[in-house]
Amino acid sequence: MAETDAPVLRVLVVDDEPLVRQGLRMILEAEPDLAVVGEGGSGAEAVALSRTLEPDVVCMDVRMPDVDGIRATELVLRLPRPPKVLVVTTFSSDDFVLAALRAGAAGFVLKRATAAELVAAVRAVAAGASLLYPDAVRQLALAAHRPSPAPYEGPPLTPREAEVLALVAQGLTNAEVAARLVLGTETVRTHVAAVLRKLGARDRTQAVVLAYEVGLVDLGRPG
Amino acid sequence: MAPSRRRVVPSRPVLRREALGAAWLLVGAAIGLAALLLVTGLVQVVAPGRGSASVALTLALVLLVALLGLLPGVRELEVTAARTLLGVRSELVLPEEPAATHRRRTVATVATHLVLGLLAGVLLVGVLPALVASVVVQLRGGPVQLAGRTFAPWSGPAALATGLAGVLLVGLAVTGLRRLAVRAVARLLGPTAQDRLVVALARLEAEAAHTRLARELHDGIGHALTIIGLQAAAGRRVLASDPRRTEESLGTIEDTARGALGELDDLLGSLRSGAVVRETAPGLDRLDALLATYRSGGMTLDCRVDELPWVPRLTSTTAYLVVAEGLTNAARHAAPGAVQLRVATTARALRVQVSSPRTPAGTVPATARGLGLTGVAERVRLLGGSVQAGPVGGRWVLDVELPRNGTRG
Repeated sequence: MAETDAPVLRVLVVDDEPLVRQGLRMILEAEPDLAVVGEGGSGAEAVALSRTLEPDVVCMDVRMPDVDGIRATELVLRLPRPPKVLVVTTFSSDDFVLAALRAGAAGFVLKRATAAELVAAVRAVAAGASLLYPDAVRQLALAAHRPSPAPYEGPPLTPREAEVLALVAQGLTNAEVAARLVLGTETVRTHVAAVLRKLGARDRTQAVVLAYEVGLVDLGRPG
Repeated sequence: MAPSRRRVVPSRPVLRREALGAAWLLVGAAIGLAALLLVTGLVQVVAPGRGSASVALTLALVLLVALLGLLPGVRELEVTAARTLLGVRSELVLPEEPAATHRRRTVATVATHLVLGLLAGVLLVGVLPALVASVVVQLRGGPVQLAGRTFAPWSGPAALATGLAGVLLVGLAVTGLRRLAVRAVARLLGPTAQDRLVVALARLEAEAAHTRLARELHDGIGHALTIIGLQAAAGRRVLASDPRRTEESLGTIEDTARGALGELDDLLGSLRSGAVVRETAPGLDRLDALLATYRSGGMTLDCRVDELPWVPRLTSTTAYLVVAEGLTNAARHAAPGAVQLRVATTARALRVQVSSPRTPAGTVPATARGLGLTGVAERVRLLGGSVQAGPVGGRWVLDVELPRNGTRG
């Protein structure tokens, strides 16, 4: 899909620091296919603005006064037309980030990322085709260091589905998984959909976080 | 055995362990015997009568052991002996300022050492040679001269077996004494409740200092660097299309960097002077500030505070806690009127009294007034102090006494 053909993505920027919001806005608005439709300074504003503006992507800070990014993510995702939530964080080791991913955020990006990485993260989250920063997600799940994973109690995955999930956890797109397993892209898509359904996950990111937590994907193996 | 494995498996070879343990016991036996001889000799001279002798003997022995235990350096010796001869591996305490509890426990250690030593001495020097001699006699089948005495053979192999069993029993008994010594000494020379409290508080304070530092760095410098990075990325992105905004970004970066450097300067300055790290539990030196807070809050305070001598840090912080707790309760529950604070020192104790006018009976449940007090009281008692809280006439009085030397036991 060529970028010029893509419809303009409507982005809401939420951060309690105005200078961070302004910087993000400048970076995103320099892209022809991205439009910053609003700015919010708190989690409560994030929810209110998402309701009225119906953005495609919310760039969400995690640590904010009043309603934090985790709670705001939960609330925003309950809206009739929920946006994709991209968590924008200062520190990758922040417990809040994993909590936000568990709450349904589609991915996260560091505030110290380059302009190009920030823009790519917004586009990737909107498309939902691949997991952002698979290594960082694994590190987050590792840092949460539960003594032993809670056993997985949902419907069992087929060996093929488990294989697909492990590759998704490594950040591969459907096409890349298909190439790796010598399958059709359509077949992979079916497998991914089955995995999401069985895990009760909203998207690939949430599925991978859940998979780490219940031990469906080995945390010790580099993702 | 590889050195690394020795560290993992700390127990020594059995023979060496038993030999060193026996050495510890025999040191106790030697000193105990010397003490016994000295005391018996003295008692014979001072109180020759037989009836009073046993009482005097006991008294003199107890006194001598106590004296031994109080000698400087004895605790150090006992700790070293416990480590090297008994192989005690748990934490043993050599306090910089020994409290009464430490002294008492050193005396108890010496007493234990001497008593167990004497018991082992009787077994090893008295019983064991006799048993060995009897076994030898059995094996040779004829009378034996040993230590100027003649041992005649007993009859039959049963006697031989009895002799061997006796040797075994002596060995077991000495091992038992060694084990008893290890346990007793580890407990007596180990940290007291107060030592643990000091360590726990120090650890808490260090943790709090770390957390504070981390938060300052996170909120201050981390925040500023985030803005600088983002604004730089944004400014570069629009340099060609919108140079005016790039200039704005550069201005923001300059201001933010300057502010962050100022903050870093302050933080490093306070770290160097120790303010951040040492900003710990307040002591009596901060009493004035505490009183000022309550005065500015509208409390009428009638204070009589003696000139305070030096007291250990833990006593000082605990006394501060007592005052703070007393004033908090007074502010919350007292009837209108002046709150009295007395801080007095005697030769041995620091006394803190907070008294406030009582509300008419029944309006405040008695327990409600003492809820925050439980923790404070616990700490006071750990330091060997006493706490009294309750109504006295028309006033509610919190009366706390803390030993000035840290603990009185």
